[in-house]
Amino acid sequence: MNTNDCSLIEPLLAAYLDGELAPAAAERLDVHLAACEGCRTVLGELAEVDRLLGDDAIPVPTGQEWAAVEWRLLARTRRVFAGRLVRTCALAAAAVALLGALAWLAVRVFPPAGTVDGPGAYTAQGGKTPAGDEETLGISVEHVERF
Amino acid sequence: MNSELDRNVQTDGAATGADAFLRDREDERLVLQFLAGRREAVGDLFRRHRDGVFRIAYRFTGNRDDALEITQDVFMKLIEHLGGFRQGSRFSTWLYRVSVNQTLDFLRRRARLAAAPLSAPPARAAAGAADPARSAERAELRERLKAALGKLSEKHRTAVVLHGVEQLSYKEIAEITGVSTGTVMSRLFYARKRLAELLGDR
Ligand SMILES: [Zn+2]
Repeated sequence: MNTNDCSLIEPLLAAYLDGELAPAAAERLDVHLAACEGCRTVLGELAEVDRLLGDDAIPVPTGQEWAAVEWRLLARTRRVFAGRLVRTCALAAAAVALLGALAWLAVRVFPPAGTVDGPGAYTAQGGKTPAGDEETLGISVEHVERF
Repeated sequence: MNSELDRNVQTDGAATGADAFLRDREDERLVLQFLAGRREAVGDLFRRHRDGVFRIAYRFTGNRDDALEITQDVFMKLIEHLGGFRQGSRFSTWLYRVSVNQTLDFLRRRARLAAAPLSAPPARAAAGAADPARSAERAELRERLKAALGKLSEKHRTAVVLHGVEQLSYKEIAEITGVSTGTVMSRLFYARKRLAELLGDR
C-alpha cells in the first residue's frame, strides 16, 4: 500500500477511529496522519458524526409498555405451544389409526391358521353356523375345499 | 477491492470476550428451554434483548411508538421461527438480523402508504427538560440526524445503526448483514462521510 495516497488511506479512517484496524495498518496510518492535514480533517469529521449520533439520546419505553408487550408475547407463545400440542396429538391419533388399519389388513390377508375369512362359514352340511363355532366343529371352508 | 480492505481489518471482533461468550451460552440455554416447551423462556429472552432491538428500530424510524411496535413484531417472529434457529450460531446475530429486516420492511410498507417516517410529527421533547433552549437544540439535532440518516442507502444506514447504536464489532455487523468485514469497513466510512456532508450544510 502506498502510504502517501490519500484516496487509499481514507477508507481506512473509519476503522482507525473504531479501533478495528489491524496493528500494522494502524501504525502506517499514524505515520500518514502525522504528515497529512487533509486526512486529519476527514478523521475529525467522522468523529464529529459519531459524537452527534452518541449525543442524540434514544428514549426508553416505560416498564408498563414493556410489560404489555411481554404479556402479548406470552399469550402468543401459549397459542403456538397449544397448536404444537394439537399437532402432536393429531399425529399420534393418525399413527394409532394407521397401526389399527395395518393390523386389520394383516388379519384379512394372512388369517391365522384354522380361521376363515369373514363371519359365518359354510359347514360340510351346507348350513350356516356362527363364525365362532368353527373351532368346536373342527371343520371349516378350508377343510371342505381340501377334501 | 474488499479483500484488500479485509486485510487491514482486525480478524477478531472487538466485542468478543469472556462476557460475550457467557451471554451467548445463556441465550442458547434459553432457546433450548423454549424449544423444550418452557414458555417463560420467551420472557427471559425478551428482557435480555428488548433494549437492543428497540434502539435499532428507533434509530431507523426516529419514532418511539413505531420502534415499540417493531420490537414487538420482532419477538413475535422469534416465537414463530425459533424452531428454525440453527444451534451453534449466535442468537444475538440472528435476532439483530431479524430486527434489521423487520425494520426495513416496516419502513418500506410505510413508504408505500405515502406516509414516510420523515413526515411524522416531531418526537415529543424529553420529559423533565429543564432548559427549553437546550431541549429545542436537541430536538433540532434529532430532526437533522433523522433526515440525514433517511438519505443514506439501506445498507449504509444499517451499518451505521448497528455500529453506532449497539457498538457491534465489524465482525458482528458482517455476520448480521452477510458481507465481509472489509465491506463493513467501507460502508461505515462512506456512510459517515456522507452524514458529515449532510449535517455540515444546514
Ligand atoms: Zn492523507
